[in-house]
Amino acid sequence: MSTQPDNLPLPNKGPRPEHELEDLKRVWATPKGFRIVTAVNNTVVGTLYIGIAFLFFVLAGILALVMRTQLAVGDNAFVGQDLYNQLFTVHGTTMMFLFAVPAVEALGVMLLPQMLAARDLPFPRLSAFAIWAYIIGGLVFFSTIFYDLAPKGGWFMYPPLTLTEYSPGDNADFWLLGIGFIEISAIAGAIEIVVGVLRTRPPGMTLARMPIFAWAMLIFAAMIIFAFPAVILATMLLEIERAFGWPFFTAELGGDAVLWQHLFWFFGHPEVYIIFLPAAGLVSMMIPTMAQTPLVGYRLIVVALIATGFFSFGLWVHHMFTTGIPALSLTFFSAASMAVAIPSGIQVFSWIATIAAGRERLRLTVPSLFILGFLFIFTLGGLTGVMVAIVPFDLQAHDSYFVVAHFHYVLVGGMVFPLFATFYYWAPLVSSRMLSERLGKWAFWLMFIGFNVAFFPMHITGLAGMPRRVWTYPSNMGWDVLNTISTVGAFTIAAGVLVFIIDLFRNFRFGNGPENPWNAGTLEFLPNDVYSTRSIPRVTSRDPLWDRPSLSREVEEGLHYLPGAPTGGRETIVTSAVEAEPQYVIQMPGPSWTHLAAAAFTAAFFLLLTIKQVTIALTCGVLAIAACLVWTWQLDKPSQGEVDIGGGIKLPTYMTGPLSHSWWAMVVLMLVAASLYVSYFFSYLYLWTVSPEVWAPAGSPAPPSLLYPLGSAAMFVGGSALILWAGRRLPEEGRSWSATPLLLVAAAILIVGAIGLEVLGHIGTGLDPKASSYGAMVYMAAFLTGQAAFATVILCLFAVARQVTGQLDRRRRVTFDNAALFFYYTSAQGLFGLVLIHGFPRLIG
Amino acid sequence: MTAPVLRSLAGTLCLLALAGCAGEQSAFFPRGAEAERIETLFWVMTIAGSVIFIGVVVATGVAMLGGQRVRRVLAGERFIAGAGIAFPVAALSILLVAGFLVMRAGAAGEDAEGGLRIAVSGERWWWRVTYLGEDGTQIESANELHLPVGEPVTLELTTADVIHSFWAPQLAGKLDMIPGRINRLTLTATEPGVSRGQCAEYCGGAHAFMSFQVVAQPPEDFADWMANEAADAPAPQGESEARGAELFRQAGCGACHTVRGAGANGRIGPDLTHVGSRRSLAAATLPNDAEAFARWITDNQHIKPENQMPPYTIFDEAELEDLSNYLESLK
Amino acid sequence: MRMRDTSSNRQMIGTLIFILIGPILWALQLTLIYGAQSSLCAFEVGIGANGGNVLAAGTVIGASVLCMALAVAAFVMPGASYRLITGASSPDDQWPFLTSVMRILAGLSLLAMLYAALGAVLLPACAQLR
Repeated sequence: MSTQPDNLPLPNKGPRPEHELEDLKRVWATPKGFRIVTAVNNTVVGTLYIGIAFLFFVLAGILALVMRTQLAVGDNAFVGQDLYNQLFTVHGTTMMFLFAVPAVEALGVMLLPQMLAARDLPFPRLSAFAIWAYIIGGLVFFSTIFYDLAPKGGWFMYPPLTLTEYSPGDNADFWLLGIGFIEISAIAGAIEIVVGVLRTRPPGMTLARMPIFAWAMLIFAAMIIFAFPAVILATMLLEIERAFGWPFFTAELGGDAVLWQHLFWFFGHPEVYIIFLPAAGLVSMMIPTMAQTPLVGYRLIVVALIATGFFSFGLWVHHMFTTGIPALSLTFFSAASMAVAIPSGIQVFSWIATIAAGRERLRLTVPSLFILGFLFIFTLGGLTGVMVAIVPFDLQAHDSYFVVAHFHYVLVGGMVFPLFATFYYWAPLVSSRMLSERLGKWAFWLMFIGFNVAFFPMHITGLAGMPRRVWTYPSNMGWDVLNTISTVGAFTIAAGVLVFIIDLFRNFRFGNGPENPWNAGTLEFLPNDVYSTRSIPRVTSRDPLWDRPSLSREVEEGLHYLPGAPTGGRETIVTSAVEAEPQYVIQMPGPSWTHLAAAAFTAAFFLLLTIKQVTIALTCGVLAIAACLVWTWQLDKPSQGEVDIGGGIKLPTYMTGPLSHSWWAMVVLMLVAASLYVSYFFSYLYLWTVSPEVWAPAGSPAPPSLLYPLGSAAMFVGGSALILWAGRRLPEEGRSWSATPLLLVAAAILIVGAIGLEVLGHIGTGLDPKASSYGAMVYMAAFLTGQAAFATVILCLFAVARQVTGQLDRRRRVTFDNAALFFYYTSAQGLFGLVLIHGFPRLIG
Repeated sequence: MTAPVLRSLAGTLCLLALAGCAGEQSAFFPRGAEAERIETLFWVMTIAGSVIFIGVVVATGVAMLGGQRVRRVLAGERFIAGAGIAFPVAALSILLVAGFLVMRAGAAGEDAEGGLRIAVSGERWWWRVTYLGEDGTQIESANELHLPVGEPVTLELTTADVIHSFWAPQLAGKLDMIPGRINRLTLTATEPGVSRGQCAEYCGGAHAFMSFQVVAQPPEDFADWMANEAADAPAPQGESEARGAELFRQAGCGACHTVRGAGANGRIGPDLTHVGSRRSLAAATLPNDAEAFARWITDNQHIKPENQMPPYTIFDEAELEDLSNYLESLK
Repeated sequence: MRMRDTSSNRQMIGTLIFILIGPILWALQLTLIYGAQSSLCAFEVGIGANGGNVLAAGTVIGASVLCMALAVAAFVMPGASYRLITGASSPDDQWPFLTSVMRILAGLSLLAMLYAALGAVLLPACAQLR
């Protein structure tokens, strides 16, 4: 382990003045009574987040019990065909989108600031917004099962089954809009986590000293940024085809159903690892504590996490081995599936090595039991994963109960068992009482035995020929006994979960628990209050609490960095990404109704759109944007001058340019937008290879005269030039008049004009988006850039308003910088689109 | 190709699981070239996987409970590098190459030229089966596939609506039926017998009831069957059957169904020319007898919800019996 | 306190990219070989007997060799790679951690690239093999 000589004097001298603690308590106080819904503190919203995710786990689990009851014997009629089809769709969708991803993201929100000894994540209202959007959207989506309105196309929603022709009614739209919207909330959380992990670590916590969970969450968030846009694009295309008939997926008009599968699984396969990696990170945190020894192979585990994150993007065709793609293409993905198995092996053996390295034998607490159960189940699931990665075997196993068994082993083993370990291990962070070891052991054994009884037989059921997603089966097929056993197992798992819920009711009480009850080595077990830690420690090793036994006391006495609230508001230290050197103090917003209103109206917008209430939906959309504007109006507080955080370090309280957290967040947002556009680019080329016969110039009207794209390009470039100029003309501090607002407005007009001209050109050639996939793709490019331009225009006008009210000047310029960055991005995307749309047909023609 | 040892292992496994193992749709009892290759691969992987799994469990046990000295061996990066990197790399490399070689074996059947070709179209929720003669003749049937044993047969898989997947586990792995594409699958039955297959890609509604049977026959039996199948429907023999034929005509069944030689040319539903000779009704949902025909005609929306045929309750009991007898007689 | 990566964004982001050289090359290789092979097969360019395609197989192997060579170069010369990407000299105290992570990742990526290229040697480039 890399330990620096640690005989430096402490950053601050004690005893600290009393007002510091009072300031902290006042500034970070959680709102009382019903106003608690406005809270943004990560422990409060994080706990809510986990609670709701757990609620969805229970609800989707109940649906599973209904399905298992139906399948217990052959030729059963407990639930009918239509309801069953809705049940498995909602079960899968809820478990993946409403439980698994939100649950791990919730753990990130709750645990990361504590592990990094930051006061909060850098964008507290953004995470609160994401959480409320998820809660409202998720609950409405789930409730469709009660009104026979639930989607029934499977959680994978393959067209053409999900096109209007085969799925009339709003059921499929609930999936598309509901899930699309929850994905946006996941992305908001991911941006928060990337910036949080890279920039709000305590001084001295270099990359090499970061807790493994922070590594895991960093990779988790990066994966969301690259994977989710693919499925967002897919849901957009499908919804547009359903609503307006643009034929992206209809074969007769040059579309292709397999395009959906590419986009869906480009998200869907990484998704599995998006769920698993944070759970593996949690295991890497708990095992060292239970073995009372530092993690063996820290470096290898970091490598394993990164490698898994990358290789998981090379597996998506793994779900499409039976679509008739050339064999050699399949081998690329089979190869990546082999490669991704190695990092998992590394992690499993690192954990075993850590258990072996313990000074004493592994403590068999409830978290340890769940971790051992995880190791057992996950290893088995990993091995069957290697089996299904071998193409010929997958041809039999695919879409059979073998696969159902495999992915439940991987997901329940890989994520749910670590999650329950987490509940028991980290409960003292938010509960004044520990959960019961006795009840926990009951819960574990019921779940562990029940799980294997339920899912192991399914390997055999599947190879005995039982396909997935059948609501019943003939009872002479030899599947009855196996299915009955599985059903018994399923109810046993449910009994285990019930014991856990009883434990929660008996022992979970919101508040601060006993200090470091497991004798862990990481910072989340420092003494905590609403403001996180009293002072932010200087970190010199990976297990600071073990290596510096006096650390808890020093931190509690305010002897480390930033022991008070010098700016008078919420704040934390921003450090550099690699070395974690303090750079500045970030001022953060507190409780608010605005993000809450924004979440509610955004949810209402999407859901009302689903039931075709367009007018009210648009009203809600406008209200959502208004709420966002009010919310952001309160941000970007002016500099409070330099503050002394201790140790002779004076930090600025305002930062602009590439070092600021807002610049980093904008860059991450641009990466999201760029991944979305790359997915579009892939789709364009893909559809061309499938249906070159509908492409211009041979199969569709030739693109318009080059004057149109040149005019468009001139406006994109001209707008960007105006923005550059506007940045130079920002007013001096304390003044509000300059040419900047006029230039911003002019630039906004130009970017709208650029897109308008592009669309006009295509309308002029008579190109019809409904006639062929080519036409649909051409207008889609303008639609995507138009979307980005819409955001750009709002950002520009927002900056104008800030300057006119005297809140934007040469120094306090983050609002402008954000608008400018996004303007440049949108222009670049627009230019790329022009080259593609006008160049490609000319190239092939 | 399959080691008998493994075959008996499969039997034991099923017995252990107390399953009846009817086996008609089971990949554990292959009767086709591809299915046999895959079964061998399955057992090799299962046995190797079990050994590795036991290894991991034992290592965990030793790490928890072993003596200081053994534990110290497990407690370093060298152990991780050996057990977690070197060993998996070796095992996975061998497996990957083995998988590629099994894939390459699939080329042998694919190259067969001039063999029998059968077009199979997935339709919600049944299978249109068309035998394509080398001279361009097309003989249509439904929900049942006949194959000559030992000869590679090329299936041309398409769909009329949504994505389906053709899966006859005893013969081969599955292959999807995707709009706008023709996927070709070569089946080589290695022994005679009847096996069952089912749609493996969720296709909405009655997906659970989209099955079929595959009858592998010695080549001479297949030729006889084919000759019969190619012929027009037999004329109704008894009085009841004749009345049934008339009812079939009057009720407009021919708008959806074809009965060659009886003036019914509908293309929407399955071809019924030789429906009486098939082993099942409604895509392997019901047995094939007169009583099942009657039930299907009147009550099909309960038997197979959402299927595209409306229930016909216009017939009285005697008429229903005549109609069923007629259909039953279409051998 | 000394200011190290604090002053330069390029160094912060460059360090992260430096660690990821291997996996980035792997992603590049997959994009190249899958894109080239599937479009050549889709347009039936260069198809020979039995679904073979020398052009597609050649592209796959060529792209793989190129990406793997770059990964080997990074593995052998971490210092030069770091300077190339970040434009700064290597940070002293984290250097062993950064290089070892980079090298193990590059090693794993080399293996993954080798696996992906293997199929082109053993199988015809455009056949379905069913």
